[in-house]
Amino acid sequence: MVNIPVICLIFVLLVFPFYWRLTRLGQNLWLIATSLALYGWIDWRFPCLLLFSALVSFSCGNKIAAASSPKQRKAWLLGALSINLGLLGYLKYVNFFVGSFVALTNSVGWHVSAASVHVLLPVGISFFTFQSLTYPLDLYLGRAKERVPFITFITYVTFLPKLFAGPIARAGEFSEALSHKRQFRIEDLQEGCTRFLTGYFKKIIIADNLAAYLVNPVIADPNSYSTGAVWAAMFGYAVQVYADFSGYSSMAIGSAKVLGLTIPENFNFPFLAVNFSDFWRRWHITMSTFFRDYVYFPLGGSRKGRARASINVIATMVVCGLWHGAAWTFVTFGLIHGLYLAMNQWTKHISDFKGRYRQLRVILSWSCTQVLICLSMVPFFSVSLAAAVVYLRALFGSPGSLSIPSQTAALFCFLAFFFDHFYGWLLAHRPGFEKRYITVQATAYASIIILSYLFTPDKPNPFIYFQF
Amino acid sequence: MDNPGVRRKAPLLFRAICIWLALELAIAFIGPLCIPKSQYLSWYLGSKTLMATRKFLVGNAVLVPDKVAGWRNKPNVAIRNWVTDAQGCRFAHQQLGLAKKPMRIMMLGSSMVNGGTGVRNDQTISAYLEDDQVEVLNFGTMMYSMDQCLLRYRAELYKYGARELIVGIESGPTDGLKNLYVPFRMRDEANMPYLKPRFEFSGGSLKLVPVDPELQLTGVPQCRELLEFLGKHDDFYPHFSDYCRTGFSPLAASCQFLTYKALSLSGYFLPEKGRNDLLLALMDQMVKEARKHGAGVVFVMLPVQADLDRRGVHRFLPDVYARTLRTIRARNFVVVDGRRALLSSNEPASQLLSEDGIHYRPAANKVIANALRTIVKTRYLKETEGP
Repeated sequence: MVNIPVICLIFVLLVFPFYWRLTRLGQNLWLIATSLALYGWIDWRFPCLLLFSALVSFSCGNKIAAASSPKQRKAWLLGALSINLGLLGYLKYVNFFVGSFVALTNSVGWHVSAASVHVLLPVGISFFTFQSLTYPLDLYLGRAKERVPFITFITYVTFLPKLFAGPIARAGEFSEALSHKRQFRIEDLQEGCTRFLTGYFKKIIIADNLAAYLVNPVIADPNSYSTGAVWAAMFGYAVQVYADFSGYSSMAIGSAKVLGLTIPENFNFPFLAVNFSDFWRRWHITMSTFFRDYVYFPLGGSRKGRARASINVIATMVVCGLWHGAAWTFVTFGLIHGLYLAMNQWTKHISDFKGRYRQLRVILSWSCTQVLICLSMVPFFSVSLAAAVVYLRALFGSPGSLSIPSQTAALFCFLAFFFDHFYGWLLAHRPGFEKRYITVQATAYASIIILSYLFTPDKPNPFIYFQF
Repeated sequence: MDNPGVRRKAPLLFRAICIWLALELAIAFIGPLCIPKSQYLSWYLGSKTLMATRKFLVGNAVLVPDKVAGWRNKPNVAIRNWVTDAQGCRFAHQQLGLAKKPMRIMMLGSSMVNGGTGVRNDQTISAYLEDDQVEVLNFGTMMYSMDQCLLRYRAELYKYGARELIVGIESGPTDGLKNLYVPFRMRDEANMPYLKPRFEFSGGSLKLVPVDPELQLTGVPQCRELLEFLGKHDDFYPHFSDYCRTGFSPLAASCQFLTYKALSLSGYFLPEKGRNDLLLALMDQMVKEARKHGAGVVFVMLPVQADLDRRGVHRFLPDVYARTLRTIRARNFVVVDGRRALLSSNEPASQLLSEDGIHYRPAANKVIANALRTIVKTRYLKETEGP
């Protein structure tokens, strides 16, 4: 199992001491060398695929920038997309499509058999493919005007902290930061350390403990647990995914910050969302904006009427679901969220929270949104659609009677999660809060260090988003 | 950190570090003054170990309490590969003494001798050693050290009238001899929270520190008297007292971890003199006890993965196995070099050792048995032929 907190920490510790004495080019080369070495440590073939994907995107991007006619630009974009997505599709989805085809033919009476293809699936392939594609896409769509120097582009693609599971930074934004020599700033060190620590706490304490003491046992056998435990595990999974992924993102953002680089935020307290659009503005922000900018808008967005907008959003979310993994469960997850968002578009006029009973309507909308989002997690965590149906049935009357494996641990995790979001609420509703109560915050961080040590589970859970 | 710039520019980082260090100090120095030792012991052991203690005391484990040696194999157990007879012996024969073979051998030692749970009874060293002439009683018991072998033999096993004793020695054989309470030496060994006796060696004589596991372990972790007793006699008690100070905060724990690593590494390089004195005295005593009952003793050194495969970091560390073997041979004990036997079999390490790198696969047991057969039979022939 790849231990990402440790790899990120090793990365920072290796880069940090020499980094500040180097020139801009030296800093970038040093980042590339360290990133590739550590990525290659997992499997030596991974950096080869990463560099191949980066070189294709870089070359096609530059050709787009240099092309004189729209036809040529389109041809180079299609080249970049087909090679990168073809590679991603082959490595990640070949077994899914072959399996689905076989199932379909068998169901209509044609008996076809096909062996699974054993392919090497590099860690984070979906993330680095999308990141490198932002370069030709932005140049084609006119979002970026200038070419990026080769070394800067390779530094951007290979930058280790965001390599495994994002955030999906855009080539233009991140390359801008890489085009200057980074200077050491104690403020960056402070922000980086606190972000890393918060991320570590979320991942190791909240996500892993929830997985060990609540989610994993119940999901494995929902029919043995009481209905209450099944509901608790479903909510627990939503919290676990959030803590797991936002924890990883925080660690990536913190590691980059220590080195004077800024990676875009990926989460903004999603469980404070009051509707589904709001949720996707807060959850996996870099991915949702990626799909919005490169799938939803090119499909026409909401410019062609409400009905077409609904079809577009559903199609975008199905693609987004498929991006998560090659399984019908993820397609279903995407479809559900597409329907949620379409519903949101149609009910916009009644959910603008203006007029009477505003607070009550906000609370009602918030609770419905959160419950429906948690319900959509059922196909997301289930191994198959049949397993999802079993779980959904258990939610509405489980035959089992077992209670939550460790109520204290689960309660502690939910409490920690509550404080995390309460902090988010304070940041949103009490401007300047983060600059006050420094000692209280410092005590919280010091306690996090001790608690993270004391309550690290024996067997850490792998990052959920690694499989994507 | 004392730079006013840091304090001003990164107040959160500065204060967080100060508070963290203050918490570390409070946990290390104020905690042990306020929290009872029994509470620390409860945290140190954890729920799994406490449950294993209860199982052991009520006789639900594969080992049962024993006043002589701390624990012994439970008789008539059959759990997958692990099968014992009415004597608690891991047998290959159908019934003790039934075959009326001319020579009876007894094997003593740890799970490396009895084969562990990874092999069947008929795949143990003792099973491979048995033939038409030889009957082997395998009394190897999980985690037994030389002192326990001696005590069991002295108290009861001599009664089986074995002509030859084969006693297994592991390559790091002295730690267990200085330990009374297993969790203090091996905290991760949650399934074996047992208490054993030990010998203290001073002025050239051995002094027994006896235990009564049933009495002393009852009530763990509420056991002030046991902790006082262990504080006096267990060389690994400092692991527990260090845990009370440094087990709850990351910085202190990291420092402690590094200290232990440095100490364990220094053990390789410090002068050898006196290190194996206790082991040698016990071996000497074992030979005397056996001779008293008309038996001879063959010791067998049993290597683990690190002894067999001396690549990587092991290349740069002194060869403890060879050093121990040299010391034992210098005292004229009859000792079989298990490592030489295994290496000369030309079998790959993966075929010899199980995944834990300690216990042997059937192929290794066969090799060791062959090496033992030669020496045991030669000695037997010499004895039967007379002067």
